[in-house]
Amino acid sequence: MSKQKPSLIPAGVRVDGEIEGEGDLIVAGHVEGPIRVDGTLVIEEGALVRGHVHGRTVTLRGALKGDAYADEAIQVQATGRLVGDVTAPRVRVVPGAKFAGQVHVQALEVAPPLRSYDPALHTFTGLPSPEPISPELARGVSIRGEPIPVDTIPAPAPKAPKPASEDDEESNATTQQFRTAEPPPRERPSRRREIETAPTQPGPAEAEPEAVDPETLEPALTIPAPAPKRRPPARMPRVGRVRGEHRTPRG
Amino acid sequence: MSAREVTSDAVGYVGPGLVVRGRVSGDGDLRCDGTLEGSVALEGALVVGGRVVGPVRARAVAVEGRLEGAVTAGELNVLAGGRLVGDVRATRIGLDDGGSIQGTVDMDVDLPLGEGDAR
Repeated sequence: MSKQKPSLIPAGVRVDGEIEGEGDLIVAGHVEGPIRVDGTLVIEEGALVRGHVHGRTVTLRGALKGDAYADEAIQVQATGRLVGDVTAPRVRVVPGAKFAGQVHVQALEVAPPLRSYDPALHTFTGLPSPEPISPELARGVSIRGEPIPVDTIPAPAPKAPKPASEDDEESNATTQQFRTAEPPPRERPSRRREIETAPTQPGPAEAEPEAVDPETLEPALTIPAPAPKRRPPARMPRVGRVRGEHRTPRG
Repeated sequence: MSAREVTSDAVGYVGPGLVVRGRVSGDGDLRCDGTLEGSVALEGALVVGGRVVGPVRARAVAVEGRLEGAVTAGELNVLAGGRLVGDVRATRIGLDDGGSIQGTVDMDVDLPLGEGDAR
């Protein structure tokens, strides 16, 4: 946390729209939309964020429906629930957390595109529940609504559709609720293809979400350290090393 | 409780460097030292220390910075240095020396607010 007082979306307050800027942000309420801060982002227990988030570090104790990006580290604490992908040089998932998505342990090369905010969906009266993110907006429009050149879209964006069996066997009620609000699957390469084209993963058995039991989602999920050649640049301070005790047993 | 005395434990806060675009709603209090573009509907109080652009509806509103938009409030206070551009509907209005209101003020109106509003 920086010395500046962190911003706070308290419990009981809902934001339909986007949040971005400088400093740290604590979300204890409900945010429907993307968040991007250059400081620490904390999603507290009891909070709900539906939208992609990006911070220097991201700590998840509440619920996030969307992708999480961090310049330094992402922590999903034991009370955290995440339906979406995580991308950061350091990722830590504490046992007890519920997580459905892919893990990309790698540095962010460019700022990831986040969901665009459409003011037409958020009028003062008669606010409907916002529609799910359209694939085009999620992939190709920045937080400010400016088109992003396709070649600048970061590599971690492609994701494989979630296996249907995972949805069917999902037993956690809360996660199921999130699932029902799932946006249509984005057009992206299959998971198999991603493995082939992402040699940075030390091993599929360790890096892939298959390490999580799809029925219980009780993750003894641990993210291995990135391969040496993909270590973050030296300027990136090292924060939140993956702890050894959470490491998935080899073999 | 007036807008000058926001003492809730969980006061929402938008820091000076933060921008929120969209609709903010809820039952808490909020202080905005940053920028808030969009509508605000709070059961509690809104303190504008930075800049707010958009319609505001709250139990109490205090303007120390700049607010551009229509205000519907139980109580409105524009403090010294504060500037409000927009029409006002409120049951109580305070304008400090050094503050300004540019717009129509309408105080004789039934407010579309809930409890805690009648005085």
